[in-house]
Amino acid sequence: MLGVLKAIQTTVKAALRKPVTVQYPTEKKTLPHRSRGLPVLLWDFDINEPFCTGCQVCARYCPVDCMTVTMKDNPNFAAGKSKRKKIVDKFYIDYARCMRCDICVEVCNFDAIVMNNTWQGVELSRYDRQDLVMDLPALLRQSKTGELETPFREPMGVAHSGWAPRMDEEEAAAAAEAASLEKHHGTSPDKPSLSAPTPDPTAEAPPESKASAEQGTPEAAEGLEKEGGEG
Amino acid sequence: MVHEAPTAAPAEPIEPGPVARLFQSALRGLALEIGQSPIDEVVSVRREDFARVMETAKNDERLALDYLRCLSGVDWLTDLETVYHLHSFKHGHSIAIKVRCPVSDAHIPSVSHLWETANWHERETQELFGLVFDGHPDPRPLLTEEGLGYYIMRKSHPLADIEEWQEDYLKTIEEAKAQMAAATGVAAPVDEKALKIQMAQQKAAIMKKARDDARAKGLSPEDEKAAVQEAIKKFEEEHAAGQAAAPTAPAKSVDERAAKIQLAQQKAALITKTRNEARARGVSPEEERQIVAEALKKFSEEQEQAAAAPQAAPAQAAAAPATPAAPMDRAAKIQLAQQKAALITKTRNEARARGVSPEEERQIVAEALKKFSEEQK
Amino acid sequence: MAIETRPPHESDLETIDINVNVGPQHPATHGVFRMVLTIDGELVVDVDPVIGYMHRGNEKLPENCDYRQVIGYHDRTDYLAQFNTEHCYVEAVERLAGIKPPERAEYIRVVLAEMNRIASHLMFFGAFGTDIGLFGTSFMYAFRDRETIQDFFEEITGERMMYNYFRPGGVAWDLPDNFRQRCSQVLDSVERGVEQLDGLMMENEVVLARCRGLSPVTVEDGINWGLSGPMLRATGLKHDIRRAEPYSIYDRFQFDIPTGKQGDVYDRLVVRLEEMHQSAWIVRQALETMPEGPIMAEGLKRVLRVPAGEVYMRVESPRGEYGVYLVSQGSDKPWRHKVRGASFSNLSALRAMSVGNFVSDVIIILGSIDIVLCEVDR
Repeated sequence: MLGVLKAIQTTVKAALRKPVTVQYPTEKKTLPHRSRGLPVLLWDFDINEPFCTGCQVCARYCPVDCMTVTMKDNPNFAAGKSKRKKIVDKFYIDYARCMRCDICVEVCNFDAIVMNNTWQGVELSRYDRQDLVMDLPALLRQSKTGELETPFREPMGVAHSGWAPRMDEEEAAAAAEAASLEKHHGTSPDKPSLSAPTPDPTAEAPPESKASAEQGTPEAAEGLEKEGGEG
Repeated sequence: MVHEAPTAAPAEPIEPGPVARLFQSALRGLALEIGQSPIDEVVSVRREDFARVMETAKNDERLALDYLRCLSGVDWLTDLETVYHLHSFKHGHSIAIKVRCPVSDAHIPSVSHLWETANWHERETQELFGLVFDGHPDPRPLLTEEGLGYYIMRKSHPLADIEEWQEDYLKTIEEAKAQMAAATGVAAPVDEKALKIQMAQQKAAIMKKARDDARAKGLSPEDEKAAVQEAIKKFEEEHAAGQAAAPTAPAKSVDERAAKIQLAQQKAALITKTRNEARARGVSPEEERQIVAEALKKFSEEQEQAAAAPQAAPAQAAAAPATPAAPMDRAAKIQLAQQKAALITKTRNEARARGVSPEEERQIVAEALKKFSEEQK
Repeated sequence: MAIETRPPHESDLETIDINVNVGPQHPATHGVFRMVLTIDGELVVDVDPVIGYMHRGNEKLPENCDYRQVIGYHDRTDYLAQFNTEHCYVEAVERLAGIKPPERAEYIRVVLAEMNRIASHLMFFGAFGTDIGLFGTSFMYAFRDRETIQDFFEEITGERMMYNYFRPGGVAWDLPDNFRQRCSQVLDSVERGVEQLDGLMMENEVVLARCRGLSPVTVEDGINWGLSGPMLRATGLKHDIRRAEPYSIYDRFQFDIPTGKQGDVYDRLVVRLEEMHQSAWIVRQALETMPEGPIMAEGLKRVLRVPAGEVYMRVESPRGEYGVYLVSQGSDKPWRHKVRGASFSNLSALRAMSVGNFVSDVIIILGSIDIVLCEVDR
């Protein structure tokens, strides 16, 4: 019997304290600096181009193969503005498949990719799973507009010391070029076991973006969404 | 995916540890291969000796390995191996015991009579590796109720290649386009998703065309909207007609499951009927039960007779809807629908063979259906 | 006037055993777990647990991943004790590859794993309270404190559930600067919460009436059925892998191994509650002695290739013995990667423990096993 009274006492005490919850959609907790949302790319404001060179190392190390990257010659390099010989051409991340393991951030030689630590990195509800496939502009948007104020970049420095020794810029550029050659001339022994996606550089945009680019009318988009939503 | 062949372990003699020495003294005369892992000592035994080794491991006073920690199967391509990690709470020592068997003869004596916990471990390994544990009291598959039919943890069962989505989608769309270009006659089965995307694209094109037409005609925005909507509606109708015109799957002969369901339904109906009749006569509950049981017995006898004559069963089933005395039950309805579907397919194909227009084709089908339902009545 | 008022006795009635299907979608089964109960009246005659609804090939997938990519899959086996599972896996790889992680990394691992044990046990108390009919109260209490631990983990690793933070050779990145102070703060608030839970549950008449003496398990049976962790300690066997076969740096810390007396459901509760205090004690000791320094072993190659060999690494996870059997062929991916889930073996004893009890008690027994279905099915 005494036990019941003790339990009631505990309950009454708890009723008198402040609530610990937050009314979520109207009121949001501040995310910690290290918060790991889904990965986004960073924008190099000095040269006005992405940091990413399209070297595909993230795509090769991705455990779930959610990335597809292609590279192209950098026009800014030809114009003498940039040090990057190659630059990312197309970059797709399937957010529906990503498991936010942070490995892509660790292996990146150019500090070009980070985990999103804003609320937009986690609030990603969509009507269609296909809408979660992000293309290059979508991945760069937050960094470009300055919404991604302070990305957490520390892990790159530390983790590189052990798992993936950080390369200097020239070495990294050489490695990137080697990676691009690699897909035409077999695989290097260091290549991880997973069948890395080596997409054809001539591959087109995914169907939905292609379709909406072709018929940029609101009705067309509506029709697409409707059809996709049913599937 | 090709797996590299396992490299042979270096065959240097390893000094047996204390537990392995205990094993050697407890099992004199048996060929024990002693190994060492970073934590435990490893003893490999032949399959013939395995049952005796395990018995000794559990019951010998010096060993007293009373706890089976883990049981894992390993696929070595030519051989299948089972590894037993044992622990003794009495003496605080652990050991791993390994036994191998060829893939063609994947049998290993069960140890679930020694350690109760081996029961589930063995069931799981049996399901995932196709190893048979002889003497297992309950050798059902563990993870799936009916078993998979293949052994997913074997190296011969690779992961499905991870599809590369962009290329895949592009390919499917191109294929669909090619099929549309060549598309006359029977459409081959196409990826539904690609079809949907394609449909959406077509729709978008039609909308655009309709709007451009309307604009060219100088219509007001409202009229323009209406025109566009009309165009969409027309397109959808056409599409629906096309879908209906696509050959549906041929009416399957009643499969086993459906037959079972039908049988159960018939039985239930019979029970209800008999019971109601019995109640109407005001019999006692015992008698009522008896009557129902008799009716059921009679029914099942009839069923057996029907099953004995395999040709008769479908005929009987086919005849069922032709006797409309009783209110049509669900099974009969399904059957009727299947017959109808078959009729539609047949008529449509005939019509197509004659090369009529879609409208005519639809009419012909409708007529055939009408005729069929009249016949049914 | 004599009126016959004898109520019909059970033996007068003709009864048959009936099958009752519980789950797979049932709040009392803690996930997608099904059991087919054969009951005679209210008495359970047979239990047939049906698992496998959550099988994702968590042993097969790592055989096609390199050693770093596997860590993420370990978070997804026991999703309530992710640090403990990661700890087991990275320790297995390190033992096989002969990597010695730096001191600081070991301390970080122990602190986080013990905090995770507290979080996991809190989850148990919350869920168990709903099982025995305390409804939301205990759940809310426990989750309030578990939430603080999760927030704390999020500040360190960035994730709330799937941390992917330990690496063979160390941890992914260093702790934040205010770690020590934050950790003690969280520990204080959690220990207050544990005290509250203690007051709410342990002397509560509902808990006492329903748990005491329910399905007692002897030591011999427990060993034979393959029980481990709190389930085995509740039977009275003083066995903890952290003490019996010390891994990492557990041999440096003092802690008690709480045991029960008769192995009934109440003893399992007592053991778990006491373990939370012990874990907090370990964390406090580790915080005091945690050194500064590197967090990743030196001299690792870009791609980790583990020499050929095998190891069965086991750790004391909140649910019991979590083991990883790793066979390497010298390549950059494991040849065989077997996970011994603690709840897998514990759950296999469900039938033996629950036959002869009432249906409502079977739910309690199942709850007291503290299963995580992702670890059972893998």
